[in-house]
Amino acid sequence: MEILVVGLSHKTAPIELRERLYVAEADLPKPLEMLGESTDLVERMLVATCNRVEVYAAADGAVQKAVEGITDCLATYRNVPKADFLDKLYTYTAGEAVRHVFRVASSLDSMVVGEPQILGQVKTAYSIAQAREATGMILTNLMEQAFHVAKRVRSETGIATSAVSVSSAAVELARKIFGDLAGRSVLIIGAGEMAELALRHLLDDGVRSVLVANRSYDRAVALAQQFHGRAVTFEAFRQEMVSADIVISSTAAPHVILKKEDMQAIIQQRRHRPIFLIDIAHPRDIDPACNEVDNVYLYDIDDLQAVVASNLQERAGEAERAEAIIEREVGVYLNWLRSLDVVPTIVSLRERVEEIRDAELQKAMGRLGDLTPEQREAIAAMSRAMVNKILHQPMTELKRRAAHQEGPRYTTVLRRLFGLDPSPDIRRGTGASATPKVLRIGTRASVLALWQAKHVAARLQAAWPDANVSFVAMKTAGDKIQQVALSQVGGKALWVQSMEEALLDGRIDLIVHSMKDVPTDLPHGLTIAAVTEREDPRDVLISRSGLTLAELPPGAALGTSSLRRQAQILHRRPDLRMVVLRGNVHTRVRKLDAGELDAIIVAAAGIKRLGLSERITEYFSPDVCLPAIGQGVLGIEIRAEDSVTARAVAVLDHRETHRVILAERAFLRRLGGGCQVPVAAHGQVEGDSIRLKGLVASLDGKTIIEGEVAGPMTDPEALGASLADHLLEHGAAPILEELFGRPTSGGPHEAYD
Amino acid sequence: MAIDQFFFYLALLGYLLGTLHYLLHIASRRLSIGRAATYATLAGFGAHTLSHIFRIYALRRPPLGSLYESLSFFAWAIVLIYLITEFRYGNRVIGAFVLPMVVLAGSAAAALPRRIAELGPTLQGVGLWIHVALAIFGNAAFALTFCTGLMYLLQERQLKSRHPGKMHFRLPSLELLDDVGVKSLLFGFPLLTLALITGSIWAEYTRGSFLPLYGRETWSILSWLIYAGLLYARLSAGWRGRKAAILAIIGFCLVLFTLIGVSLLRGGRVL
Repeated sequence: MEILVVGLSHKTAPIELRERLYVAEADLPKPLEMLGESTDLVERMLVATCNRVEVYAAADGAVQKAVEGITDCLATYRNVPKADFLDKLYTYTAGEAVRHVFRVASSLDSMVVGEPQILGQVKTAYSIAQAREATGMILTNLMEQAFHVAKRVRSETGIATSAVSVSSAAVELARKIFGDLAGRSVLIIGAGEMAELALRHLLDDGVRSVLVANRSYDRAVALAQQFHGRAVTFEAFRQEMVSADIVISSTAAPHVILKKEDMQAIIQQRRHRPIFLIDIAHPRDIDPACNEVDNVYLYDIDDLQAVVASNLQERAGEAERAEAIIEREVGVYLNWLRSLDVVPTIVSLRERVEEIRDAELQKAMGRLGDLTPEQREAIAAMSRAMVNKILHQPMTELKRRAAHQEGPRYTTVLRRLFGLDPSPDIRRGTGASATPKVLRIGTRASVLALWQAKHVAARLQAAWPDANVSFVAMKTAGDKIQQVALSQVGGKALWVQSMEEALLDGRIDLIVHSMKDVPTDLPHGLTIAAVTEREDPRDVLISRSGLTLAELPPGAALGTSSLRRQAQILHRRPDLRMVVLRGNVHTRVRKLDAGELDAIIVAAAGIKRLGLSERITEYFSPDVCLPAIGQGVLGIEIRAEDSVTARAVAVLDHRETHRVILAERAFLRRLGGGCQVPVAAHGQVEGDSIRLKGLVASLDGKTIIEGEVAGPMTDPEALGASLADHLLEHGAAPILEELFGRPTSGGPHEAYD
Repeated sequence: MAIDQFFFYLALLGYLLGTLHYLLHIASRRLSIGRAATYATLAGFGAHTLSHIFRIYALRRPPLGSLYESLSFFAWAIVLIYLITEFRYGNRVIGAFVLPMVVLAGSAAAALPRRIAELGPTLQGVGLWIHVALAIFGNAAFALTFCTGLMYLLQERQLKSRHPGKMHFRLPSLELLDDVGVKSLLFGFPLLTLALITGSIWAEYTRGSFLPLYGRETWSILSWLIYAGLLYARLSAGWRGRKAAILAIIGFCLVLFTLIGVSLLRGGRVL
């Protein structure tokens, strides 16, 4: 997969050409659709401003072909011959593409470097592409990182200070024409963000009177009121130009509204007093020939470039610092992309060593007898320090190597040396026919899902070095419904449906699921062949202020997507305000950071995998928030009759976890399957038996029916069913009946996270 | 070396230093350098004034009798008018254009013979001195009109090109340049008019002819006509900016020719 940037900008193409290729924001979906139909681009988005037309894409095949496809598309959509702009196009791939995107978002590639509009324009372009399902994991990550970089550049360097914006550039020019601006008058034709910005600057500089002309007189009046000016009718703008000193034109007119003849007549009436025309409309409002009239100074957006370029020279140091930040961030991003492959191994290694440390520590504590808490802590600290020191070198080395070609080899060796994959005894004594040759893994195209799939792939590859392990990432229809909680959407997520179809068709061999997403009833012919060892199943609270659940102020807004979490939290804190939260973990954290929410609740495992552990404010013990059925566990779904794959994935299976999952799922099935209800269950192995806790809650959290059973590991399903029966008898039945009144179906029982 | 010569060279040194610092000032935009330029120019002006006083003392007449003397006086008048402008407008960039001209005029004067000319009896009298002084002051004012006109054209070209370069940021605003241009014109024109009138009276009085059709007088009248036209266009037809600047430049070229060119053609005689 290759990141690709194809486009042209003010740096390569004149405004006449950009005008011809320009796509208005409202029209963006159309060419986006065309790109999807006529090219093989896996992901794509289109950024079109008056200064640039660019396609950001992720391409699977040959780059050259992709570029041609994009070019054809641009040419056809705006009906511009390819020959007219082919030599103006630039194409960036890999690191160069990442750098370009970062520079564009950070406004370093803008005409007026540091101008703030471009970031918003890129964000809009991204969300339009997102809404059309044109983006996937690659662009999502790229854009999120680009927005982060832009924010950093803005806050850490001075490039965004006022002197390098279109409006202040215009003010500076006005000062060179009129000297002191005090007492001057300005006429605004049309409206728009940039026009208002320029006006504000001019007013700050002493401009006295403001006139506003607009095709909609009401808008003119509204704008005039805002700036204590006077509204005039649109038709009268030429007369008003006789008295105005500065004219800002920003209409949406498709052709020029002021011709040279008009201007000549006006300047006569003005008795040749100079007039400054700022044309920020696109396409342009004022005939460029007006500049030829004596005492008329006409600037369009293109012209402001030079002014700002000079300003930039004064701020070269700032821009250089911004470039340095970008350079570092590009490096970080590329390393991250490459290291994605080693992350699962590093996590397994850490888990394995932690497991040993924990076990040995318990043993030692037992033998040492009575110790003060300080002594216990000292011993624990020592063991942690040892583990960290021993692991530091191999982990650093692995991460470093990950960026190079030999990365996978190091990963394999490390997994073998530390025994991170259960010994593949199963391989001995099996015939050649039973050895898997091809393992195609279906997964959802989200960061987390892909991480999981890679983790599974790495383990399968290590166990079956001769097999060809590959991925098929599915479009994630379930992810698109951002504002509605999944519990209200109903039905099985589309990506699950399409992936299961692919599995049944034989297009893929296995699907990696988060076990808590998997409905209790699988389609006929499919089975869960293996479940991995459970990771941290807890839910965690991330709060903006660092306050724990108990400390959050009454009425605080808490984001979660799951009825289970909502009900259990409301049970403890009925005063909190619950907000529906969708999107991937990054999106959720960003919503929190943006101040929309005071806190969010997410799964610990996901947060840790994405390296966001330090954000966690509080871990909820199962007593506070009982986890979802299957939380923290990956399940491998395969065709029931596919014995080769079954054998292959057996290396992934963790026997004890598998038993516990069977118990939890039996509990859920007895309560009515995969309907959207606040149900939770969590099992743990104790010696040879399983202890299973479960609960059913009302939506408002006022009523919680909970229970606990323990029984032999040999019959987990009976154990789960018995706990369900117990709860039904003790008051869960009416709750469920009430909930079943709601439209339900066999969807997943927990929102994906 | 006579004492007036010493102070003249001192003045020239001051103007040279002033020129250098004005140029450095617009290149670096540093206020301290700009201040140094003003001080150097002021010092030069002081020395120049002393030089004139000593020469008046030695000659017992105004120092306006030879081309050297009138060029030197011309330079002195320009500096005086410029310094007034600088203090009024608080802008030093004009100095970077005016001072080189001052240095040029001063150097030209320094290269000319400085012997004290014996003037014939017809070339004496208060009326003549007033005429010459008025003409030189008027032309010095036009020197400023010329410089601001030149700067206006430069700045205007920068703005019109729509790709203003470094120069653009250094040069003052068009409004200021036009304002200085019109004010210096309004100052210089009456002086030139008076100079022309006194000159005619004097000519009629000494030579008996009011308007000789050859020589300096003709050129003077031509440049007066140009400035009169410029003033009329500015005040009644609303002329300004580029056209006014061009006309001011042409007018001043004529003035220079009248002052220097004609004298050289006539073998260095001023009068």
